[in-house]
Amino acid sequence: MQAVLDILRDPSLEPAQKRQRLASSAEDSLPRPGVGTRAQGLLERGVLCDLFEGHAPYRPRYVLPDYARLMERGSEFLNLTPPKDLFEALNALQIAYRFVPSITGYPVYLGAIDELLEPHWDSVDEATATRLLEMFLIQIDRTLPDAFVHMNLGPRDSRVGRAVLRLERRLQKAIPNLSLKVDAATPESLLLEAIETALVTGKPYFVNDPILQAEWDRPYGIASCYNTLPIGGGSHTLVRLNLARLAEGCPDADTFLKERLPEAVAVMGELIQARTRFLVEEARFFEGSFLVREGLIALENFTSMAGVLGLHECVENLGGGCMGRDDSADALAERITFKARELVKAQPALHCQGSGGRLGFHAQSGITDDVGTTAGVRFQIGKEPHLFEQIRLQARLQGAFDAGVSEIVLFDPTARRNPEGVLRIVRGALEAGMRILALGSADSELVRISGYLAKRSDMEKARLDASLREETVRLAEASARNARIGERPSRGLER
Amino acid sequence: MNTATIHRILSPSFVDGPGSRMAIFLQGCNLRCLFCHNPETWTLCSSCGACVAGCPGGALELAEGRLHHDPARCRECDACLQACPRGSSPRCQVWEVDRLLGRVRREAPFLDGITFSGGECSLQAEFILEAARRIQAETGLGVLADTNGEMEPGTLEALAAATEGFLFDVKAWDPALHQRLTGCGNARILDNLRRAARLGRVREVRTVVVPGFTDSEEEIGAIGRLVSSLGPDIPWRLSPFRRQGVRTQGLSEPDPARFQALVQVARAELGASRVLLRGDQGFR
Repeated sequence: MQAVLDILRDPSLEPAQKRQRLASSAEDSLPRPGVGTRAQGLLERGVLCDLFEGHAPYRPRYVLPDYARLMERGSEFLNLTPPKDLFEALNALQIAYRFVPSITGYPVYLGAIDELLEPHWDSVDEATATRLLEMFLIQIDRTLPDAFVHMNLGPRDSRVGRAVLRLERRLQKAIPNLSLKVDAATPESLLLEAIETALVTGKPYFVNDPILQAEWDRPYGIASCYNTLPIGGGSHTLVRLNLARLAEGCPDADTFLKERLPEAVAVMGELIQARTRFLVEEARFFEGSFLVREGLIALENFTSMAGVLGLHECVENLGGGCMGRDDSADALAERITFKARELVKAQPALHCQGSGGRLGFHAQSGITDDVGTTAGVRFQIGKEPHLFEQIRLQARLQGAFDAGVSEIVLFDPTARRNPEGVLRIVRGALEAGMRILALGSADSELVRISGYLAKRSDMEKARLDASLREETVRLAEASARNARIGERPSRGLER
Repeated sequence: MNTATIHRILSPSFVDGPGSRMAIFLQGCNLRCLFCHNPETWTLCSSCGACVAGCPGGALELAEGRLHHDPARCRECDACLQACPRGSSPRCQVWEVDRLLGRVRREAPFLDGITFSGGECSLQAEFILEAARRIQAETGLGVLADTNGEMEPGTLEALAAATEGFLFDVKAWDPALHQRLTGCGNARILDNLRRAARLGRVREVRTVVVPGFTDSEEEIGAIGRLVSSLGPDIPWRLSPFRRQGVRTQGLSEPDPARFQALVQVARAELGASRVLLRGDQGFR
């Protein structure tokens, strides 16, 4: 009762935000599925974490609807006929977004917007098309105020993609998150447009399309914090394993690799399995959803995800030295990462046909409460080696992750005068095997927190406890402090 | 063994030529420009020891008459540069061509090219000639030389043949002014500029507008006519003097309106597209 009243009385929350918290409170009054004593112990120690999904999953964590099918066939449930022009296409998408479930209630995937809209671009004149697209982007920012809302572009060139990049550069909004898939045929001029936008806004991500497409036997999209998942599917759940916590008090790397890690991954696997079973078999999401009925998603395109984080501190805790400074630490980091992948892929995986009947493996980018634990497999902020060595090692580690991983590089503001130079480095990173790379400029108003963006000025408002549209800004403000995000090095003037 | 004394290497640099570059700053200069931003590159370290006491990290040591610098303890606070009485740095390192090539090969996937700068890089031309030949042969990366032009004509011709060209400073047009501003006349420099242009190796001419020296219409107009005479498409980069890092007292930064007026003079001589300002891409 008191918890409910506390939510109702919180003056910093809008009514819709209160409703969201009330729903979570009701859900969490149920026991968590599949939590035995071993799992309970690991959850309490913070080794495992279910990332605020709630105790009783009744909708998948990440849903990537096949919006192309919506464009082709319309939707009976939404009373939409197939769009015939840009007005109808944008309207259909805005309507559909309201009905895509997630943990926060906001859609984490907005589709490959260039492919969806390009066929309708000529239905109006260029100026009107651009203006409509601008209103669409502003509408998304204001009505889907959640920085995990993610739009995809590329690898093909398009007028829509270029317009989105130019508009985002001008509008400078945190939402939507943006990814650009890149392959050998992506034109240089489109990449330069994207780099100029990234040096102002911190987005898009640059995504290594050939490598990721080879990981998945079906079309994939980038959702939320760079989760790489099948289109027309998604992920039931994501549970993460904090490698740093797991390594605390462990006598040596061998014990970690041969005993602790296999045990913990097995418990994580059980937890994931129990959550997936509850969602599919108890809450019966796939039997009720119109998205399934109308073919916008299908159970066979879903997977469940196991995440890891805290690799940097894990290596330190095992006495392995400092990643990025010692070759032996780098080698250990690589062994741990690929061992974790091997173990995750060996777990039983219920309802995971979307990824070949195996769990997806994900480098988790951290949550607000993480203090002293570095995101995913990144270098601890402040301990990054020289930029090119950073890229080289991260590219190797990223090779373990099929379901999402990313690295962030901030450039000195002089890079804005020389996007061609940044392009060379982006190309070098992709050629080295980097899967997903975010870049930005150290002085931008938009700050990349872990996998999502927030405005500096909004974080200042959150610090002062003002009422906010975006829930994620509150997370961002605390994260920026806890994870020392302001101390990321600025690249381009280094020895 | 062909070696060079290197002040430092920046990689990547976004301001020392087109694209992402490794900028190699060689130690030693033959001019003494009043507006120099990095006077610590002027001379080689004489191991006088004046910097040792002021090093907060204890990275400097004078042993058997030679100064030693420990990079592991260096905080890069630049206290030693401030303490040096002769425009040097105890942090310079002697590099062999092989060692440099090792680094270039490793970083090549992330680079568009290499730029030798300084100091005045042509003072160590033998090193550049060998390094440039090997860099181009072994990595395919192009090499540029950022120079003040004060060198033997034969050296210039050799560098022109070994590299993709010069980022060429013209400090002043008027010989007396040049002498006052840099401590050196400019007859040979301007001859070398014309020689490099005839060889098709001037990638960009660069001039800093320094109030009291190069901020007159006559001076800017004359340099503009010179650049114009070099050929139809060599760009000229104009930068306003900035105080940061400069030791000379009494120099002021140009008033923005005055600088813009001089840009107009430059554009009148060369056409707008060939006059580059901060932020313009112009390297070809």
